[in-house]
Amino acid sequence: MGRETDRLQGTLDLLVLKTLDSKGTLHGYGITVQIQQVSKEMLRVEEGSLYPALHRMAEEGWISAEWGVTENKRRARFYSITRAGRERLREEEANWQRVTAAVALVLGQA
Amino acid sequence: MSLLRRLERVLRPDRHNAEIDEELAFHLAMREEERRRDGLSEEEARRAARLQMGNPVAQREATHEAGIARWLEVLLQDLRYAARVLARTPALTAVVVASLALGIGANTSIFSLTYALLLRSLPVQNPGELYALTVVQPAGSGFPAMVEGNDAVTYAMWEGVRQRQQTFSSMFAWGPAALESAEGGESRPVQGAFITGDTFPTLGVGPALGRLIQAADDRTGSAPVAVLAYDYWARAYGADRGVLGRALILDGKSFTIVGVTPEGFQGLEAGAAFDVAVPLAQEPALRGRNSALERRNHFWLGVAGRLKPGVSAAAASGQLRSISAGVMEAARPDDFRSDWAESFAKQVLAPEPLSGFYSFAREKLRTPLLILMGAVVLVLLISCANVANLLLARTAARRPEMALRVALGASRGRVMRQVLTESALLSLAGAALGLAFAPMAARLLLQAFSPASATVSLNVRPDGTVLLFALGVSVVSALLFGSAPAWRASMSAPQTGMRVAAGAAGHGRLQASLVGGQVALSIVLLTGSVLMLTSLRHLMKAELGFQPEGVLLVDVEFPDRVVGPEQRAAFEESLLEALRRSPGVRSAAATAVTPLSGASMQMPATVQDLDGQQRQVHSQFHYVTPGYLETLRTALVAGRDFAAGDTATAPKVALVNESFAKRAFPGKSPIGRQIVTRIGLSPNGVTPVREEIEIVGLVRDAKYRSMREEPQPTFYLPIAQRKEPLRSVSYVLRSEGPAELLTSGVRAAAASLDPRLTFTARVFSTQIREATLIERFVSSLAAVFGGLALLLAAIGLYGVLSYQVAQRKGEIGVRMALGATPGDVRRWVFRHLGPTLAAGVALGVCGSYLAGLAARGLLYGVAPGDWKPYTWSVALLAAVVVAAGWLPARRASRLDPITALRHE
Repeated sequence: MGRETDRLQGTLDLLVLKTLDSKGTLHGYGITVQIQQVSKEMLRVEEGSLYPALHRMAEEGWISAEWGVTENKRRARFYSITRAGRERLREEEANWQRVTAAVALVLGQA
Repeated sequence: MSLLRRLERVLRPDRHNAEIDEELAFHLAMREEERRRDGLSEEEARRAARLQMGNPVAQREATHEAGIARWLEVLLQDLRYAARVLARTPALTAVVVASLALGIGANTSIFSLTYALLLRSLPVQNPGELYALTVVQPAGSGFPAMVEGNDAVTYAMWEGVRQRQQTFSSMFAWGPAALESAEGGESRPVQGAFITGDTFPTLGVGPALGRLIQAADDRTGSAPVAVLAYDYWARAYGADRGVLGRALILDGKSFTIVGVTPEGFQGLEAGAAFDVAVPLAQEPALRGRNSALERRNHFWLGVAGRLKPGVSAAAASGQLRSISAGVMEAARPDDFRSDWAESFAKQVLAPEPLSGFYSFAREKLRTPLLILMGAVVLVLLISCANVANLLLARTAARRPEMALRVALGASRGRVMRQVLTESALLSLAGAALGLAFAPMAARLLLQAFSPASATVSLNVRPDGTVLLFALGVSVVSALLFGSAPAWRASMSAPQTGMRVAAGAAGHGRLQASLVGGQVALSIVLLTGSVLMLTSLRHLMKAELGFQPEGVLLVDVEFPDRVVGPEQRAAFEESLLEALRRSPGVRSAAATAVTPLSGASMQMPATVQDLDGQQRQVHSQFHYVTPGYLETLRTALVAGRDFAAGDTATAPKVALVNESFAKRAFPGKSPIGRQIVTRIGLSPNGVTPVREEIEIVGLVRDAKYRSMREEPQPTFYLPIAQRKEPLRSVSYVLRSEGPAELLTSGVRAAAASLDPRLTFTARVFSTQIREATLIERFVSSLAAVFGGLALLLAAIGLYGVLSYQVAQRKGEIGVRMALGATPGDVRRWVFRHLGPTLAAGVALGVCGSYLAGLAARGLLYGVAPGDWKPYTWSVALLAAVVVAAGWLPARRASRLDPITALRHE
């Protein structure tokens, strides 16, 4: 797996984990809506990579998945964050802070 | 996610995919709704949602694979890491892999034997429909063991069954035939089989070459044809495809080779494959007046058949039961005594699945094989305990590493998984190594199992089942020896683990109980091998009643084409004379059956006391020439031996053994009394001939059929006064030197009479060794396994004690500082293990007793309850414990208290 995808994936992971951490249990569609709203429509989740990411993270044990029923009585798969997921989230957040701080430093110097 | 779920995903992706589809469909529907709310028409909304989503199939694929790819990736990571870890400690890894290879390899080789002999199905079509015919004798049957193998039937019985049965779509019969093939002037024995024409069609076996025997071949007057077994074709003809149409001379009669059986078809009975099969209809032509077809007292055919479609075994059983009386009535041997005839008539026919063959060899080897299977399982358990102990010690050493991983966020499950992966890798490496030597070991075992006189041919090539077994064993072993270290590793809490070597009392307890288990298992194996060795010693010491050393046994066949029936007696006599004259022969005699060959002639004898009272004694009997007793050195207690004057026309005489005398004439001398007996059939072959025989001598009891038999009532008759023809005669020669030296003289003597005579010579003491083959085999293997167990237990013990001494350096230092002498310290080290060892020994003794009960059939002169074997094994183990503990104990007692305390 290349570096590039790693970082991109890391970003998506970070967003998904953060969303689930603050909003509790959500289905995939709910996650995209939530990220869009919170980012004031700035960030739009690429749907082609959302579900693979969700399944991969479930496999890692960061999030857990369960079938449930929505308000309008439709079957959907709901995701929530696990303890391991929260730890992961903290790491990713710290990483992100470091990276953006570093980028800011570089930009400031230029 | 559980492993099971995950495997299901890999193996049954459709179900997982359906879940993903549903999830994606939901997403799409939500997106559509959103677009509609934005004001798009239904159609436009759907299109927009689709566009945003992308190709649904590609989506599903990517999602499905994200899960699995990740899993495989982690697995590979674990494997790479495990390989690196194991490579870091090559010595430990080598020891572990080697001991697992021993355990798994031993299990696999014994299993492949057991499997080939007891479980492997016939390579035929739908073996589940094939049933063999068995004959159930009524309880308390007066039917003596005149019959070799209970399920053999006479030709008349086979005819009766074939005509009356309605539940089999077809049936077939086969019988063994010891034949001689002559090609290019050289003659050699081949294992033949007489089979009926339906045999191959019923089994559903096709030819590898040419054609197999068909119904048309099995008629009187059909051209004589023969079919070769694949192995024999490969062995004797180098798999030459040109054999078809060639002539094969069997017992002087020419057969045309028409085909070869497929590879892997090992005949109809396990352990007794045939080389050449010929139609049963050719039997009279081959055996001439010895033909068994018309003999109603010759039980020699095996019968089997394929059930009609839809017919259950229960239905077949009922139908066979209902025709039994009719079959027996029609086939009743006319010369049977009335009570035998009654038992014969009450016999019931029953079907038995043929899918895992039945045979004499199988019955004989079943117990020893199962015992060996048990023994190798014990060895495997012991080596697992050992490996677990070694890995536990290593886990202790790796605590800091594990603690670090936990601190870095690895979950407990993740750590366990890593350690179990290492165990699995070790186990698979062990299995691979074990599998490399298992087939060779199995072949060697098979050779050791087989007496020189009869090759036991079995297919022991490892196939899918054997591989699966080895894989299963290695997985189970990995779980057995890997779970304790994995659990232990997962308990590495970061805080305590990072401080090296905290007190590990609990750890020691686990290791100690593993050693206790090893001790128990070793005691079982040791006691077992002592029991077997004791039995063997008793068997070898058993009073035989003759002296086999320096005796050569020569079996001679007298085919009709060489000697006609009329010249037979004179011919035998002149051969005996020629043998007596050959160099190095001290004395010689002839007999119909040599002792300890597994066969005996038996008949009921009616004896007449002086007061005219009659008594019946079921006896074994021998036909011998004068000089037999002298040659074998069986003592004559009273009366006289046979003499040259006891000819066919002289008054009939007999010798009896002590058991016979005791049974027939309790407390009185048998000399001068009479035996009234059925000695044969009248020339019409129907009416039994009875005659009175005078007992002229009393001899010591001697073993006849087998080493294990108790002395049986036995009488001897002069071979010259025999009534029935003997197919073969054996000569016993006592040599002045080693028995082997006589062979060339025997060859010259036989050739001087007729160069076409064939004979086989056996050294009597070799035959005795073969008679105890199974006992030798099992006891030597048991001894090997016992030794292996001891070695493994010693290694385990040494490891545990060394570990504990290292762990408790501080404590030892304190003790020494407080004035403990080196002797005190040594005792302390040993005392520490006392309870574990005591518990192990107690468990082991109980286990041995149970094992002894299970193996009772193989014991001789020793019972599972005898205390001596236990004493031996416990004493041996104690010696090993002391030896294994000595080094660590000495190391402990030589510790410098100051250094030891500083270490703490």
